Amino acid sequence: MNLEAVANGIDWSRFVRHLAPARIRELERALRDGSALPAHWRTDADLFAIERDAVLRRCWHYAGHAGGLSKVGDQIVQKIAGVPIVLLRDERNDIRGFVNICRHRAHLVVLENQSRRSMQCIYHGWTYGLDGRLRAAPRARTDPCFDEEQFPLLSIQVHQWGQTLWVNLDLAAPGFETNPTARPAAPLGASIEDCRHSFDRTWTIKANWKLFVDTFMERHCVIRPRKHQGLATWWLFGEGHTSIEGEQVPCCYHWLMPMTFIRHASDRRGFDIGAVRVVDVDRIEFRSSVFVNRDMSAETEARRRESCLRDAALDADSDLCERRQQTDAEEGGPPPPLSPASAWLAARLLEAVRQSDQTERPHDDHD
Amino acid sequence: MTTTIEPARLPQVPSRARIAELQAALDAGYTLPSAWYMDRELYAHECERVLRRSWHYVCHEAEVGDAFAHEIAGAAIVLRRERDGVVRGHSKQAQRPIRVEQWGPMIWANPDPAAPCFDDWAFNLRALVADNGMNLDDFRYSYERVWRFKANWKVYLDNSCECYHCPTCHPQVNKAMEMDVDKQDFFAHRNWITHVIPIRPSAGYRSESAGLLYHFHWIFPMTFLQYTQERRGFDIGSARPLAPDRVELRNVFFVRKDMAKDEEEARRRRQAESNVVAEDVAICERVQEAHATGIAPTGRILPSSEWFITHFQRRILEMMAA
Repeated sequence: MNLEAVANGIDWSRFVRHLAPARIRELERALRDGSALPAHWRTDADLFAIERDAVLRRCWHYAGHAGGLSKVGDQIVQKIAGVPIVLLRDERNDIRGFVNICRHRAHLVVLENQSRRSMQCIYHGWTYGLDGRLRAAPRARTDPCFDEEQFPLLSIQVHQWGQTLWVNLDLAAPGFETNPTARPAAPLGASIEDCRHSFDRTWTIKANWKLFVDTFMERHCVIRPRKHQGLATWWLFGEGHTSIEGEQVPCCYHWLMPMTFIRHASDRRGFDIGAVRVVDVDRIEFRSSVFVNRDMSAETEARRRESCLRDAALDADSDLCERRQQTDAEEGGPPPPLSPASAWLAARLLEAVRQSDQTERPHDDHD
Repeated sequence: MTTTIEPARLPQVPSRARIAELQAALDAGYTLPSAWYMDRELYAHECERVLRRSWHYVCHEAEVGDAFAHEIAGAAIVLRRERDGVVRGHSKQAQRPIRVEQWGPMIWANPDPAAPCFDDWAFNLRALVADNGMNLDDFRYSYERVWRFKANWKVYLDNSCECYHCPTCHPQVNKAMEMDVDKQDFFAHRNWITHVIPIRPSAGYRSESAGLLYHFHWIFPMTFLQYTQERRGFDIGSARPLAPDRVELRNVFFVRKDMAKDEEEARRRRQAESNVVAEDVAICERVQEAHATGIAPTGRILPSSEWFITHFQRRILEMMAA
């Protein structure tokens, strides 16, 4: 049993098996007629769990910047689509990621960001190397059949692009560079590689993730479909305006579906990443990470930061989303046309349903 | 308005073949799969086939009057002390008598009318406890502490029936008790296990028992009983599942009937210094958080240090298959 086999052994498609036929018909109808998904797709906890498990955990997500992993042994913990992960810089100076769950009895291995040459689970002291291999388990010698090699932490995909870090929990998912449509260039803006991280802002919003993404797109950017880009695409291109030091300047958006955008303003002085983290069916965290050109003066950076912190656009988005979520929960919501995030999600879920039909397994208590 | 989503399918009891597979996995050192720690359907089956057919601590003798209502894994029961002084019980739903027994100051019940008596269930345990110098008839209720936390009942069972985690999770236990397994004693019967640990001469939080033996019994499925050779008191931990991922633990303390108030107060103050339950609760909640992701790999235990887990998980499978 090797590392890859273990992680690839997660049968992601099994998660859609609990999707009722009526729900599948709703997805098909929405895609066929271009009509919105019924409100329970934004309020029902069971449906959310299916989306999260079958789709969101197989997508690429923004996972922060490389600044926190500057030296060997630096470890950062976070949750991606509800899964605890640890990102670290290993002995070979590479950045790697693992599911932060002990192979022994499922305790979280790393409890907080730290800098150490190993990862030790406090439950029973099982200790993993920076390569994820189980190095030592107390009293393991008393069990001659026990083979440490068989119990590494589950590996995840990590991609570094400039100072930005991206992760995908599914080792079998297409790589970041080999997505159906490869990662975008930034025709208008600064190149990702030439920028450093400046600061982050976060919001907690009481709304479903699709509602937020659709609302944000509706208010800030016009999606420009490109030739041959159907719903299978991972990158959507959009255009809009953003506020820089109090002025509205043109910008372009690259949406890494389903819940992350990179925004380049035409002033070519930096970019920012907006990333949604799902917390619950009706709760998300939105993080805006601002990157600036390496050679930007401290004074300019401070001025930009100050004006950015004064910008209330996202607060207004947040309020609107929370009101819409409330309407959904109370009245069933208005029936707007099918929006991009919902359409994309519906297409991915139906793919998973088809895949699941082909790989039906005998047991429900997956192991 | 909350939309009601129709169930995608009807509950299915794991097949005999599946149970046999899981038994083989236990034999090979694996635990039950992660889904068994969070799945609503499996939990419903466990309540029906395991928990409602087992013996549980219900209350202490002074609590029972005309009608003491309690719930065990979905079974509502009522206990009552009758004119002959005997505590009897019945199931509220089925309106039929259930098995109730008294052990010292403790009242135990099994919601299944066809259940074996307590001494068949916990075979020879009362005698063993008495042999350890603990005649429980000599004790009375002192006080209790209740903990509610977010964990499957088996997460707590797995945690509490082994002391492999004591050196890393419980600094007070590590300091007070002999952690060298060669100096500890373990034995088990079908429905109970016993762990005997020497207390160090410099015993820390168990100073009243320095140099004596500590006895821990876990009575399947949900109750521990612990005391030291000091024999001035004992306490039990009775866990009760409230949901697939939620459990209530009542830690009930008993003392010698003739114990003076000031000694009882001093014991209580000393016991309040123990962080052991709080540490276990934090551990269990983090384990549950991992199970809740739905992708936690099946656990792999070290049989020499954790065979109690395998022992009790085998019992769960046996009862599920029955």
